[in-house]
Amino acid sequence: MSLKFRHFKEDTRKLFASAKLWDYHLKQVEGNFGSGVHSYFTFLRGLFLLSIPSFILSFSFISIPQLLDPPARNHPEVKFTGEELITGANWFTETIMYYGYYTNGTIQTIPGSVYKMPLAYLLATAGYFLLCLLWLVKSTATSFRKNYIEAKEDESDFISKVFCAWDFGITSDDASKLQHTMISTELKEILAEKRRHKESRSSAKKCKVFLYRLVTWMLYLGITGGCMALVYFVNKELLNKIKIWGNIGYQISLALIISAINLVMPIFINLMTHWEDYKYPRHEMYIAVFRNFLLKLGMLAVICAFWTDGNLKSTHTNQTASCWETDLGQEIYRLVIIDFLFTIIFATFCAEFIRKLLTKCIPSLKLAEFSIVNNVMDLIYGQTLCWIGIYFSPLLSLIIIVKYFLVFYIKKVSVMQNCRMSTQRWRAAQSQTLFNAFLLLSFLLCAAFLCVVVFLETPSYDCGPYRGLNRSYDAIIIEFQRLASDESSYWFAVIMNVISSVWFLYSIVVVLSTAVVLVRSRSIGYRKFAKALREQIALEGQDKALLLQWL
Amino acid sequence: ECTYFTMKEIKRLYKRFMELSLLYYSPTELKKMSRPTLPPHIIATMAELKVNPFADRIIHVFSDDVNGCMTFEGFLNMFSVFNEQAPRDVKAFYAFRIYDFDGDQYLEHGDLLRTLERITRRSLKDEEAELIITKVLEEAEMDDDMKISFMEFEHVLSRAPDFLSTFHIRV
Repeated sequence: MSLKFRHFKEDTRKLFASAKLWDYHLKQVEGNFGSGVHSYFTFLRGLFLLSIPSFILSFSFISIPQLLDPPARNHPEVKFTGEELITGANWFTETIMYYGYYTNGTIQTIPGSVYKMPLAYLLATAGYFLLCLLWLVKSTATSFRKNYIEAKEDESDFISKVFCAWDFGITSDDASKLQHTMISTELKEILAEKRRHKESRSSAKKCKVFLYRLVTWMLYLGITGGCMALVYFVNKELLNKIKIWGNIGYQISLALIISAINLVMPIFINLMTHWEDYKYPRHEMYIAVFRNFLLKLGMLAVICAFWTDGNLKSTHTNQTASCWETDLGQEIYRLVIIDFLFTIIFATFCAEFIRKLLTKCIPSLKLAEFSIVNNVMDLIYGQTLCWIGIYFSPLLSLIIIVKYFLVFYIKKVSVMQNCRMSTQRWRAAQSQTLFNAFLLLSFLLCAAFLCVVVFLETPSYDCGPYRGLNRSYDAIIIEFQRLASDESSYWFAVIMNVISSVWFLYSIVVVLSTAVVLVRSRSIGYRKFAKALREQIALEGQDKALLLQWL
Repeated sequence: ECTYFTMKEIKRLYKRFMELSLLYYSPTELKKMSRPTLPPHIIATMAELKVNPFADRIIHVFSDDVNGCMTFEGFLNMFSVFNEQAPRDVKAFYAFRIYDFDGDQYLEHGDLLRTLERITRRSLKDEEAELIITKVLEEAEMDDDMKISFMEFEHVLSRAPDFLSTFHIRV
């Protein structure tokens, strides 16, 4: 009996040991496709594990207490039909799914305890964001420190090609044959380039390239502006129709438009960037990725700005219950679902599976390569949606967990069956840093947006945990004032007063800036020292050669 | 004590070592041996090493005796160096010994030529290989003796950020 229990404990520990989840699948992918595709799946696993504490925090601190004391519904006649799963509206609107359902009072179902919902809502979300910030900063810092080495701009350095080219993780025969061909082709190419003595561009060509780039930037800004305006106008037109419950077509149309743009525009942007004729393919990739990212964020920003705009919020004279936070939460929910469906249907099913079927008919067409960059940027976009939506829809984290789980298995099956190994060597180090940096950037933007919502925006008058207040943050301030006036928590109030005063923050900023300056000057000193030592070694080598000559 | 594995992973590796031993020894022989050693051709059948062009060099570097037989300590040491948590200098140390075919603590022309042949499966022409070797020596050299010592090798690898991710076997 105790042996069985020990086995069970071991198995559950194996299941929850965070770094070991899906280990077998990762190894299979790495063995067949190398470290590049493997890094995509590791990234996915990292995001999946990050969503789990989010769900635990929001469900246990926010949703469960509310379930114990459900408030009365305004529209009890609406029943659950299947379409809520896509639109997120109708019956879902007045459940723990969205911000609007939560009470602004206290929950006292357990006698003797007082559970303040407004505080809990804000603190749980803040706790999750703090956790994410710590994890992201730590992972970006470690990858930057490990991988960012001041590599020479000239990409053809032989040492790294000879000694670091062979990916030791490969275990399949086909992959290893491909690696051999890849390495020898690369070496031959570099030799040919050196022999050609790559000519520097003439000034006429430089002028032409400059004009091209100007035109493409203008074009890109025009396209982005156009898409953002389109989103704005569609949203405005459909505003009233979205609010009518049961209107599934209008409700999902905005999400469909945005996901379609996200699918089609990157193709044009990649083409445009290719025409710009950059000297290094790596720069081309960075710029294309940055532009795609900016486009997606731009459209998201329009939606967020639209719903937090002052004109649309209900004032207390308006009779129809209008809850802009719930509406924004529903929009995000729809975006998440439709984005997931589009990824599965188009990116995976069409691009990879159907192409595999086509290769049987058309012999010259080869299997698709798994595009690591595009897939990682899709993941980052999905995670951005989750971060924005988590404040407005606490159960979104559950949806995201299920989504990541399904995406992992679907992508893995698709990769193993339908893709071939990439013919270009994957520079893991710099790409890893880039992806971490993008993730951190989008996290900071989401956090900034939520700070604006919490500290500056007026919450809806008749729904949610902050109804009737001027700002959501007022709930915390009221609590502090209550604690300050209460005799038993006097010291707590004093400490909070000190921490929130201006002088304390100012002194922290000064201390941190001084620390940064000191560390930077130390690193400059080390670099100079290393350079001097290198010169010394060269000199000693010359001395040695000279001495050997004399003997 | 000095590996980068957890207890569970060490047990898993031990199980694999035992499975490999059973391919060579009979169970009764195995019970009698206190420290079983495996000959190199058995280790080379492992999936992780089968397609690796440097498999024989890896086994040689980590083996404990002249014939190339490896005990479990050597086996564990081998995989822990290839673990992703092993630091750069440990990996550089063993990479140097793997690429040093003649074992003279320097990477000279002959070692570099054989490394090149292994990774390209002899598909480079002779003069191309010569050119590459000259360029490599040019880039790595700091004291003009036409061979790469361990210090120079380690210094050069510190400028190659991909080394950590390619010199990695997941077991």
